[in-house]
Amino acid sequence: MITKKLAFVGSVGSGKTTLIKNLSQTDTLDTDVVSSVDIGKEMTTVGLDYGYITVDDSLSIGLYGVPGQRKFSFMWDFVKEGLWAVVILIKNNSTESIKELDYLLDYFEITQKLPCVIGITHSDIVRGENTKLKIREVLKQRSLNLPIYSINANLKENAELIIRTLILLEETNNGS
Amino acid sequence: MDHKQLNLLIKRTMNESTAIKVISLSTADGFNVCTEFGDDYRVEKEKLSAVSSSLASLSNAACKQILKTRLKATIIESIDGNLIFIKTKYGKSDSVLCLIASSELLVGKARYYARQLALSIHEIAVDI
Ligand SMILES: Nc1nc2c(ncn2[C@@H]2O[C@H](COP(=O)(O)OP(=O)(O)OP(=O)(O)O)[C@@H](O)[C@H]2O)c(=O)[nH]1
Ligand SMILES: [Mg+2]
Repeated sequence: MITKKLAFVGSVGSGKTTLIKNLSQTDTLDTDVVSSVDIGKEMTTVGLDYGYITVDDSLSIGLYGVPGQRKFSFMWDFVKEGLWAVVILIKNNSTESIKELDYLLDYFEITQKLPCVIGITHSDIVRGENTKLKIREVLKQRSLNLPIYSINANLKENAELIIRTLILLEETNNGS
Repeated sequence: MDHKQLNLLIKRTMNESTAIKVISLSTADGFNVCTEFGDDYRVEKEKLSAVSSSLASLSNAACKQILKTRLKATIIESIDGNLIFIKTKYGKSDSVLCLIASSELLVGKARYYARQLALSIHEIAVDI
């Protein structure tokens, strides 16, 4: 059995913890604490989210969620080691979240070779179609072509779509 | 926000031993509240606060979810000294106390000072 390491990154409140909770087949590691400043929600991750899924007899995936706040980037360094794939989450219509994309693409050294999917979250409650266009612009400047999905991090089916896409991307990469 | 009483308590513990290099209080989500340094010793206090918060949360998760019990303290032993992290409350706010001491101070003693201080901090009546 091979275990692969998948990272979930993205700005504060983009839905990393929520998505991992919905995907994991085991109870996830919980390192969320009450935020002492207004970040638009009560809790924030300060350690690491960790969950686990078994895909089939030969493959399981460790799900690692980092804290969104940059001051915890030493946790990002830990997660970055030996990555199989990355999921970048972006909050729909949030300028801040879109701006973070550039920073994250650099930090995690995303290239076309690394399986990577972008998920636009909160699109079920925040209207607007601009986010996808803005993301495409950022990717174009880097000659990156990554799948972009609008997802609801609270829905398991949406989360599973991301995993299936990553597995497909890896197969395509290996085949070409 | 005035942290007079907190400062006083931290300074008092600093004075217990010259081996104590840093005492720092951070919010549970990693913001620095107050830091005191011993002579000629400096660390980046914002970074220390972020690390305190992550380590405390991970230790807490390990205790709760693996050992099914409650966390007392997180102790890191290095070649030159020890770092003790203890969860406490300052006013209403969940906080993490960090005490760093060189190895001249026995780890048990360092932990004792940190625990006593954490208890005293919990008893300060502040409105935060
Ligand atoms: N309606 C809706 N709510 C969402 C979606 N994604 C996340 N949320 C909610 O947004 C909040 C923030 O989600 P978290 O999972 O804590 O965000 P995070 O990315 O882990 O944030 P940090 O750990 O602080 O960096 C939660 O209350 C979720 O329920 C989504 O796609 N749709
Ligand atoms: Mg989180």
